[in-house]
Amino acid sequence: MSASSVHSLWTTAAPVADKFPTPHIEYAQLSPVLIVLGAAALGVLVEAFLPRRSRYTAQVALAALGLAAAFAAIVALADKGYGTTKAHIAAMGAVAVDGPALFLQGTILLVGFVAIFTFAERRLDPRAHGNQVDSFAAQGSAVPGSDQEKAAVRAGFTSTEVFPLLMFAVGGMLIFPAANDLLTLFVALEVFSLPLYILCALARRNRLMSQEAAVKYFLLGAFSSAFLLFGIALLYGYAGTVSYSGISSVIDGTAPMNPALADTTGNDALLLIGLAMVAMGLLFKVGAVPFHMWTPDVYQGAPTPVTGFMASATKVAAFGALLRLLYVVLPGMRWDWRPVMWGVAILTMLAGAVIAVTQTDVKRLLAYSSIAHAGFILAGVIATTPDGISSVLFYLAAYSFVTLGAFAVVTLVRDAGGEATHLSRWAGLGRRSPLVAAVFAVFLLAFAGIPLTSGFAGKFAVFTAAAQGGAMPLVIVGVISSAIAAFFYIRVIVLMFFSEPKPDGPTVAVPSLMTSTAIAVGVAVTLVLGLAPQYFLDLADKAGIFVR
Amino acid sequence: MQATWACELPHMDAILVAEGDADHTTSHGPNMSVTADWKERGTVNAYAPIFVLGGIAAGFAIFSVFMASIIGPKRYNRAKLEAYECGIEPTPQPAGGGRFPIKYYLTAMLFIVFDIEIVFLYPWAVTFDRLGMFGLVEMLLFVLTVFVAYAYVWRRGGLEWD
Repeated sequence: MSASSVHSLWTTAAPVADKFPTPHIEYAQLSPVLIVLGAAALGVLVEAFLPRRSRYTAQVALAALGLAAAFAAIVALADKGYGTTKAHIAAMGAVAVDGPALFLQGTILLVGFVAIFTFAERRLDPRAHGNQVDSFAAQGSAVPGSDQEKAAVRAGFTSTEVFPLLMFAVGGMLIFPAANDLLTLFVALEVFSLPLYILCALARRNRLMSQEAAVKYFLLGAFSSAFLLFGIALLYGYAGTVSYSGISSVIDGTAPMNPALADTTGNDALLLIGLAMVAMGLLFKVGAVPFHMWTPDVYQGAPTPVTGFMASATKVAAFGALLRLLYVVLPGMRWDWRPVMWGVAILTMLAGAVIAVTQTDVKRLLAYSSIAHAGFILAGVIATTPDGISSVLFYLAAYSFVTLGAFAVVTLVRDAGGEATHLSRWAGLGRRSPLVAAVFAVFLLAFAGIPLTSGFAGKFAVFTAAAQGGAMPLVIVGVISSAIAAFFYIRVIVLMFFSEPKPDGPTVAVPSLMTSTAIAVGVAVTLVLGLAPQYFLDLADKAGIFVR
Repeated sequence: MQATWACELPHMDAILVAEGDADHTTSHGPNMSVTADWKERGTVNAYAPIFVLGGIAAGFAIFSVFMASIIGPKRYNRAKLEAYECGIEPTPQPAGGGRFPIKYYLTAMLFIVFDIEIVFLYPWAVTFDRLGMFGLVEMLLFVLTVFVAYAYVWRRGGLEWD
């Protein structure tokens, strides 16, 4: 089968965009992104002009409304057929409006919507000086432990900027999987990364650790962005264009040769180095081995609501971008990238699962488990079949809600120093508060991929696609590392239910309706996708065609 | 990259001459056949520049660190040992923690905001007659968005020096 005929399995050709002097932007088709970014800008104005005491309510309402409206816009677009028959490339070739983009954007918006609830939670910490406090620092610029910080806490300051920051991050994440040229990809990456760096630094407790996490994330993130950007430059040198379809037609050899660029066009060395560097940038965001070093430190140090949001939404966005890059730009190169991705996937699955066994902190444990899951999803990415796309879409949707719920539960288990994240402190939690422990057990079982949970349906779909795509060894490694991973998930469950609670153990805070809702949504999605996955599998299947 | 290209090309010419039927000084079709030849030589050779580049990069890093530790002059003083050799002192903080002036950072950040605005305004100003109403509306939207950042800085006291 020739490269171009395989390519048409998962892409449909779009009409060629107009040339320079008559730019036109399809505002209606970009409305989800515009609504979210507009709400974010409004949030900044709220922060500037509203009196301090009314900011919190205004910000929460604005963010929730913005995300809900954007989700409604996604549903309307999908309803009009932009995910299937009317899929095309909008905004002068910069953004694709197609099935995978709409599916992933919908997922990101729902994740963001639930994340707002965990961000807005103010019941978990005891009141400080008569003011309700959330998980974020009173004043980010006050040095930890200083008199200024104490004064800020006494005055009841809160960092309500987290809501506009969350919205900006969501806006960037919406563009990331839909980006249809390399420059849009890079801009989207920065738009969602920069707010995340700031959010990571804003924990109310353990501020030094939180700031350390943010600096680590920022430095490594900037490093990976540099790789991505240099890779983009090399790919531009190779193809003479940054548009995805342009590069793929140069790879297929169907593009007309520009005589001015004849010296570099078609130079395979540029293509291979550029491809490797761009893939590095994306694999960093995904948290795949060997670019995973930042994950445990950042997940542990960041405020737990931020960790939950970051662990789920970033993964959805980054895998979306990776899928589009590999399936739209580089199908002609699949014999070059597949062996490398095989290696990355195997390393990621095994390293994530094995290192997680030795972890003693629940947030670090979940971080390594997220690395292992990145490996499972990569197995689906490698399949290079239409089933590969739809299974990855389904897995991402299922996984993100489990992650969000699990981190929301972590915020509840507290002692005098804030969250009690050391695993030994969780001993006997099931005797003290059976409901919270049971909910956490559901999430752990979903991570482990036990039947009747969304984790099983997702893993089954991904591994089936990988096996049919000729990656049987990957599936075997995947099943082995799932078994290793199941060991430590079950160990936590045993620890919670079958060991004696310590007399000075942590208490489970009673959350407000906000966190309860977030956890309830997590449980509901986990069970629905586990018990009746067919509707959602069909949805992912229908959404699984990229526009080219 | 340039180096690999440069040393590959004579080799190409040699092949063309050896094949005999083309005088390589006259045929400027060769430009195309060089590219074609590049592809035909198979994947092993195509990967070679990657390893060469990686080797050069690693070699340069090791060489620089190694040589600097041998031949570099070592005249340490207090300023030299600080993390940054300019600006405010990063450490120590005043006793019991405290603030250090962030005016410089603030000024620099503000500069970036307005600098970027100018960077985008400039190409628009050059072609605004061709872009017409569309360009004007888009640019107003952009300026409005930048103004949001400006309003935030103004309301939060970022424009006051003390």
